[in-house]
Amino acid sequence: MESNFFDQAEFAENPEPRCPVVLVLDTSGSMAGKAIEELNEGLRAFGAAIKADRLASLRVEVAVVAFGGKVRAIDVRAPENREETNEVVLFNPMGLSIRPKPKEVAFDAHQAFVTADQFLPPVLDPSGETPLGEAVSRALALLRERKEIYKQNGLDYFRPWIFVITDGRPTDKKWEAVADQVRQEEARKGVVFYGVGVEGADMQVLSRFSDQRPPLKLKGLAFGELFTWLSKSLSAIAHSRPGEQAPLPPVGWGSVDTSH
Amino acid sequence: MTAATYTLPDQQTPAAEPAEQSHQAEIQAAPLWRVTGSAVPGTSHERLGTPCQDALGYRILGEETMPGGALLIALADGAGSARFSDQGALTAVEAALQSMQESLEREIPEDSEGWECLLVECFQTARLAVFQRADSDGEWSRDYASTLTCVILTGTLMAVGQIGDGAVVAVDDTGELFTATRLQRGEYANETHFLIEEDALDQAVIDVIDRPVNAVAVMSDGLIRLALKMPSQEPHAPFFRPLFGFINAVDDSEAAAGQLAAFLSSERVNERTDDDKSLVLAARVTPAVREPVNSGSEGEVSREAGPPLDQEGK
Repeated sequence: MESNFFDQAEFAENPEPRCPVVLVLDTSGSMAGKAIEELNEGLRAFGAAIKADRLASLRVEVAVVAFGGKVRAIDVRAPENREETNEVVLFNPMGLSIRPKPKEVAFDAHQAFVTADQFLPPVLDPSGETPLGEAVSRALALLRERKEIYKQNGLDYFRPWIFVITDGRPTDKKWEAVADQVRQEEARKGVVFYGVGVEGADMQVLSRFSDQRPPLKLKGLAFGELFTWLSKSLSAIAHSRPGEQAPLPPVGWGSVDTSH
Repeated sequence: MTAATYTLPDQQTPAAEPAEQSHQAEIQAAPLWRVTGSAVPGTSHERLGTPCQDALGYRILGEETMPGGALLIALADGAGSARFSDQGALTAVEAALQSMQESLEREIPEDSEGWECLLVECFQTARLAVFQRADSDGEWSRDYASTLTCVILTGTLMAVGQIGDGAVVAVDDTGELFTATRLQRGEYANETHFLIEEDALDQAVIDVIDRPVNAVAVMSDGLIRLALKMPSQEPHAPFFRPLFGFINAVDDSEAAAGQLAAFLSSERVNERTDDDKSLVLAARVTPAVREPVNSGSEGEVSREAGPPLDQEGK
């Protein structure tokens, strides 16, 4: 008889708390070739890994800001969640492959973020210079907006991440001011900043963005390992409870750069 | 799986009792309350190999302490990565119950302020006990961090105090279902306050509900998303109605604790949360009854009624 009571107990429907991350990805000309291929493959692996963790796939929210020439927010929503538009098709100079241009989306926190279970990994194409400052500035703004959306809708959330991957040095002047902003935001505990440098990156520049942790140097093009680590780390945070220092997996894919 | 489980004062178990697997309150010839409680580890803990970090306990004080007796409940949720938070939670619960009992045996508060002082002293005592435990173990007190939720029910009122993110949901003498606590959250979902913090007492939220309460549920935050509507923290009646029905029908507190543990460990619950889950359920054997004053008037809080209470008084 008692078990009938428990069977009758119905659970409240509550939205999951959110764990937002902005991936700020270098798509400048120097990333052409193997680097961008491995990055794109890493994004695909990231999507698959995070979807495999049910709770994380409902809690983690992803936005992608790509910077190469211009800074773009990439549409990472699965096709059924966006209007159909004509794909723009690009031929690369060698004429060897056709790669559709990744869809852009406005810098609007309503459109740029998607919960991980709906994440469509973009296929990024490289060109242009390296406006890192502008890209991180956009990421900060998106996160600020996203927090407002959470508050307006009564959603709980975890501390957001900005995760930067770059292979060069910034070509825009504003990066220093933006780095100051990031450090201040981290000091306020408003954000967690991770900087990853690929071969050729200016690690000193990256180190200016955070006092909390030094930038990491990617081993070769180990994007696959990097994104697996990222998926596990975000899952750990998505599962974490009050007072828990969510233990992050060891960084096998890179080394800590302490030279600056 | 821990609790300090206590019988009436003259059969009290010693404070240093090691953790027990079961929970019970021996019910005397004329019981005032039906109570049971259970704490089970979350699935994430089974993955990580950590013990259940929730602790709970309760005591029933009889007429010799005060007219109408009193029910004391304490529940603590150990901080996730604090190494000994399961011990911290247990220490906090035992010290809190002891403090509340001794305070009442010394003097019954006369007004709300008096009840608030009693609870402040209870938190201070519990906090000190955790520090002393850490000290005697030669460890940092932060490794014993836990929340603490304390409830006292008498014939005429309910006093509630909380540091952290548990919840207390109650049914009063008009049948109204309400949440008696506010969750303490930082900006982020995985932040709350702990008993061992320096300003913990400043953060404590203490309230006196000046009317009889017929049934109460005290829980840790592992159950909150299932039991309350967020962000308003209103109780979800379809969750509580069957659970209060269950406690009203309880004869054997120990068996009931086992059934409750099975429910808390069920797949249905674990689909929604991987956290430790603990819950104390209590119902007055002879409920107080009062017609609601503002029945039918505008702005009336929705009367999510509790279950029809068992009047047979076993």
